Amino acid sequence: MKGTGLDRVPPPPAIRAFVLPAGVAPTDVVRIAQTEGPDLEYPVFDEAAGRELFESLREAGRRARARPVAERVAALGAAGERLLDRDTPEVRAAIPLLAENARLSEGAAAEVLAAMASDWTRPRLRVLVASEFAHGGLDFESDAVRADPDSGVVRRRVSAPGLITTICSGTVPGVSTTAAIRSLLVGSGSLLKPGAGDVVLTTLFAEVLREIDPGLADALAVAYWPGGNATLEDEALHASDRVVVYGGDETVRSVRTRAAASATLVEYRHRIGVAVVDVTGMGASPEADGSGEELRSEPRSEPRPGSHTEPPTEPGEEPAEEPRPERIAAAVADSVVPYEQRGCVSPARIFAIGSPDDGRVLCRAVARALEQRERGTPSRRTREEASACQQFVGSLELRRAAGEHVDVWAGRGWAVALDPDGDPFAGGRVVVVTPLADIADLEVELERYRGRLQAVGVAGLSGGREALVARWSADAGASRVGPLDRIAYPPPWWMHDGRGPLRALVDLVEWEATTQ
Amino acid sequence: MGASGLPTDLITDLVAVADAASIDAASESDSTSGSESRSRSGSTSLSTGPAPGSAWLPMSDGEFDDLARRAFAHQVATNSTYRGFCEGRGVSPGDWPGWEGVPAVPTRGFKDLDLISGDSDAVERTFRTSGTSAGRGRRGTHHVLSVDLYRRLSLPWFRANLLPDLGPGRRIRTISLIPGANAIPDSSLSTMVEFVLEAYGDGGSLTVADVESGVDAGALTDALRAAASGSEPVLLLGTAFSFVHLIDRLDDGGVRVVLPPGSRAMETGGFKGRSREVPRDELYRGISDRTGVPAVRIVNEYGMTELLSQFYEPILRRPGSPRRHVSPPWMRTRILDPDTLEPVAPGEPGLLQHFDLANVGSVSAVLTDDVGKAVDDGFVVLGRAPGSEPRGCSLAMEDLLDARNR
Repeated sequence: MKGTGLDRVPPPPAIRAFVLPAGVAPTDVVRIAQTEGPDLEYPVFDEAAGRELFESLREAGRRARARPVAERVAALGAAGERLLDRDTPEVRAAIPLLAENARLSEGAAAEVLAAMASDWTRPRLRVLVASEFAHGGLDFESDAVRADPDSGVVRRRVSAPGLITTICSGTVPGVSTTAAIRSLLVGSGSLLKPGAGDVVLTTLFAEVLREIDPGLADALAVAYWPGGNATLEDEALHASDRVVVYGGDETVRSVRTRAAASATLVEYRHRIGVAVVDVTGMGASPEADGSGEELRSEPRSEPRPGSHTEPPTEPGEEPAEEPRPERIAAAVADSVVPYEQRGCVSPARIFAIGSPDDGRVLCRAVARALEQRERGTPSRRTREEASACQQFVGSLELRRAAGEHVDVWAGRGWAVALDPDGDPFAGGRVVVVTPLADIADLEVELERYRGRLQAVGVAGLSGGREALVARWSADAGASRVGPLDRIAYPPPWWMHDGRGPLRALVDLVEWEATTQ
Repeated sequence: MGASGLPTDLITDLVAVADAASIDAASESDSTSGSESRSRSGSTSLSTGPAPGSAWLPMSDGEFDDLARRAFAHQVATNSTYRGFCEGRGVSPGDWPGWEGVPAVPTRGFKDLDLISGDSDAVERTFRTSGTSAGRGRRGTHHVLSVDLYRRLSLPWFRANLLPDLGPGRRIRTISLIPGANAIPDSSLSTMVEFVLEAYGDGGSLTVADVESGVDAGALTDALRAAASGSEPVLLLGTAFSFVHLIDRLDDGGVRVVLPPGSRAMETGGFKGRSREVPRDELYRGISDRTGVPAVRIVNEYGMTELLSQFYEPILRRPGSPRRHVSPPWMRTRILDPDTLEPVAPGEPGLLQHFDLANVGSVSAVLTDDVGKAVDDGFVVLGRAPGSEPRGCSLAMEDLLDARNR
């Protein structure tokens, strides 16, 4: 670019992607460009500085563990509650940055922040601790004796690791902050690498926590670094008692090979969410699809006539409440919009129990809902997401032209596909609807995602059908089955990857007392 | 129509363009090189490259539009899937929206469907993409109705950009790190390399790689040492990965050679996300250190199975010009906003969409998922930044498809 005017333009401001304990200084600070979004400034530690950081975190963790867990809950909850107040200067300033960093619109960023922070409050964290420990008969705080009917009287205590290193990836805002809160709740020193698109919220939380409780904040170091090869990462993997990693298969495999043999690994691999909705009868009701033809989101081509089959019924089952397309479509939109389909709790494929015509009615309603959301909370896709969506839409148009029974509706920032044989699609507001005439076929479909399934959102199902879906989902390894409109916001105590979020971080100690 | 169902008149005109282009390239080089041709052993006539300022004669917009219109008419007439696709986009077979308005199929479409414009029973060769990274777990397939057309269009543009100084009837010692078409018949790259070896390689040319064992270190070392002991320039052909192997094998053996002046290399691949393991400048330094071929004489080729034409950096044809990829006259590229598919402002990044007349037997207008930006008379491919993270914690689709395909 030399010789052009461009080299005289000052570089845009970078996001400071770290918050370190008091008294800890990095060896250097480096700026790194992102494919999209602002540059990041991250700290570099040489070996000696890294060791000092780890020791500092361990020591602060020891001090934190010596305090009652209620104090940690209070401090962390107070920090979370500060983020709920959109009128505070730090939150007002953070939302545009959060939007830039996570590639969300400002409206979506504000919504995500509010939703995530509502789970970081004192009441919610108290419930989290209780559900993980007290309700399970575990002693997190005192030496209270608990009776074990089989082995006699034992005391069970929770032992927190001295140092937890957490490596996050991706751009779902709040994942890294939640991980930091979990580590501090159990009283461990915590080195946390946020995902590149999640540094703003994580550093904001760390800074607010420092204002509220500097002692506890000293047990947390938030530091982004480019994944895979940073010296700090290698050193941390060797120095930590527990390593928590969020990422794809490649990332997880890499961490496994580099972590110390003595470290316990907690792996949260990339997974997908799906949804199951009952749309039977929708296609038979003209009223249900009354506004379908006035969409701005008209399909790029007229739908082919589909073969309509009678809604399946199950002997002895109460008929489901007539599902309204708009209501289910709104739930679909609620589940895909907040995180732009990037989360493992976002439904990458929607199984619509009903005929293809029923499914088509749902698709139209979802298209209307997404178009409406687009006006209120515009999507903000990455180039890769937008490109993938264009490939996806064009491919469906081709397949339809080739005579396959698929259809597609698309607008700026969203797409809806009716695809009996569709692959799931993650990233961007893209909804893949697969009609299933017989709910029994769902078991096979879910089984295809065994080991990869995280969440199953449901809507419009009768109680009997929902129980079936829950059973098949569990068999396929899902860790969460819940209402579709709330599936994107799991509570703090959800069994992420089938594990208790705090129990996964600690060891349990049994003391068979020799005296009563 | 020919036997393959391809439009004979269009093919004739297209080949004429390529033949003329070949002559233009040679005359461009001859008239602008300003360097003395050298000829030893009567086998090679090469200069160290043409001087700056030369220009390969492009096809006029009117000429291109005419050929594009005829290609489109053939494709919608003979390919019912593409015809339906166009009608869905509001373009009827009788319409001519100009080549920019022709509905482009996504590259993913080549994974999902067989896109043949002509007699499907006359397919001579099927090229396949190497991966299964998207689209229903299938490899992309490109059915070729005329391998001869592929050869007649790919060779002139290769020669213009890799061998602009090669005199008529002359040949060059070529060492290929890419397994031949006999080993990978469904590779469009291997097939093209075979064309190159046949058309331009001298008697000492050889392939030093196979599918099973990769680069043959012994054969490579012998070939390089033999070439370095002579004075005739050498052409190296390889993918980014194969050049990494070349560096490793030479390092293993402690081998460094200095190939004769005028030697050059074509490197391809390695610019798509995870496959990019070694930064390009580092790779080129490595090649240069081990072989003596200057980095400024390493030409990147950008191609894809879905397109039967290739892009090259014209740095040998126009030394000193910026690195960018330039298309042959029978191909045009648009850079589009990923959200709207409208053209981006000059210099802004966007998706690359090509109209390749060489694709007359399939579909000419192809929307890729590569990101690039315009530079001079071409574009640079930006791809994804190294180390960039997948978006979100949701499953990367590659992981899922990999798992299901195991």
